[in-house]
Amino acid sequence: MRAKLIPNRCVGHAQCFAVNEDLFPIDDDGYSTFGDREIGPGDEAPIRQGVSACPEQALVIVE
Amino acid sequence: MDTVTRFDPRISGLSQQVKDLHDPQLVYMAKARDVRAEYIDGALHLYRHEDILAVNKHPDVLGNGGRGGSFGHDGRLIPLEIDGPDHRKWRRVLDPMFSPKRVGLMEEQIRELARGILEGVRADGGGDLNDLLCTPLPCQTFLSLVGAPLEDLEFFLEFKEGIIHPKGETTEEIDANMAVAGGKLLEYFDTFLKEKRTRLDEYDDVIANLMRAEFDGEPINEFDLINVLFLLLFAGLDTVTASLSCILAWFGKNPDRRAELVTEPDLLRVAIEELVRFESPVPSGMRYPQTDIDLGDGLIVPADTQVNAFWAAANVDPTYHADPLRVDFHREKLSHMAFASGIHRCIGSHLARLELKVAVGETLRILPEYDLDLSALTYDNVAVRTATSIPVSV
Repeated sequence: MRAKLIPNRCVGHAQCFAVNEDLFPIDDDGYSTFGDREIGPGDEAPIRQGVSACPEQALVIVE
Repeated sequence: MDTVTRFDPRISGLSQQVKDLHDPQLVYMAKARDVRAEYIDGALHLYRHEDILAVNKHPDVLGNGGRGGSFGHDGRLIPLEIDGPDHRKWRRVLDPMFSPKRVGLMEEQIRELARGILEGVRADGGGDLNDLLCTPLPCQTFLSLVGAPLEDLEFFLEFKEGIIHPKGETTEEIDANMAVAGGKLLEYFDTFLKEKRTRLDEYDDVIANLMRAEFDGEPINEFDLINVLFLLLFAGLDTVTASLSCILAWFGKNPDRRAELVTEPDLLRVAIEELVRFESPVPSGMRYPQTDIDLGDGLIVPADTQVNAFWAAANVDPTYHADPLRVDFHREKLSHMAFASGIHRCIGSHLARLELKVAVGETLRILPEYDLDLSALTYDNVAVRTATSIPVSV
């Protein structure tokens, strides 16, 4: 599984960060720095929760 | 009423229909499920998550200030009521001052304050949690972050009451009363800022940082500085108070659910997200599309429509959230709009989350079984939903 950030969609809610601070890093202004990542099997569930926490659909799962 | 009249959510629209309801969520859910969108008092009310998201993401939509300023202040409030490049410029300066990392530095201070208050309530055998905790805790925290003197707390509280809950039955009366409250604050700041400027090096707070900030090599002028402080103060002083009051009232009404969290405090983080979703303290915001927007299935929002985006309905929209009236401490999809959506999302949301997490966590630890007098519980759902009286015994 891959997940990625569509950068211009992030407006800094940091609801992903509120779900999991380690898996969803943010910059000093509070905006996501998630990038584009391959997700290990152990992280799939929390990644899905953090991705679905974004009210802007800025984070997406790429199967 | 014709559509040229400016819609005033303080006296019109759906908010008036749910004014003092204990459970407006039932109305909001039915609106999202059955109605989707409707004109009330000349404003198009949008009730569904996907529709509101589409409007907020659209580049040609103005925010709350699309038809000029409000809140008893001349001109548009920064950054709530401005748009475009100017808005981006201000958010770039303000965002770091309210980022999760910056506000996180205040956690211990907030915890100590909450503990002191709650231990007092326990020793007294109870009291009104709105007066004792929900009002002073966020206000003291906010004044400390912003850099306004704590000894003037009463003055600031009077100011925010005058702005958020102004007296009056018509827009004119309300605005006149707001202007009085606004005038007092301007007078206060005029003296306060001059004094602060002489000792600027001693401070690391929002006001001092704004005084040091520059746009294109120019410092922020006094007029804009007072403008932004005006907004930060009335927004920051009221909304966390309101949110915390709703959440503590909810736990009082649902003691079995409270017991779940007392046993499993790790659920607190998701619980807070769920409770701000369910309670949606700021029920709606205004948006002004500058072009026609096609929302699909025959719903077109024409250019120049006054849109009342109902976050509170979107948050219990059954076409988006599964079982929306259930507060689910294990919910997977936490993408609520309690802090609005799009570029105008609440700048204080990270501070709010932190304060709620700490204050609720400490309440459950120190007063795990507080008993709420349900007959005395009252709500005000206009402008900001608040449990105005939360008498408990412990």
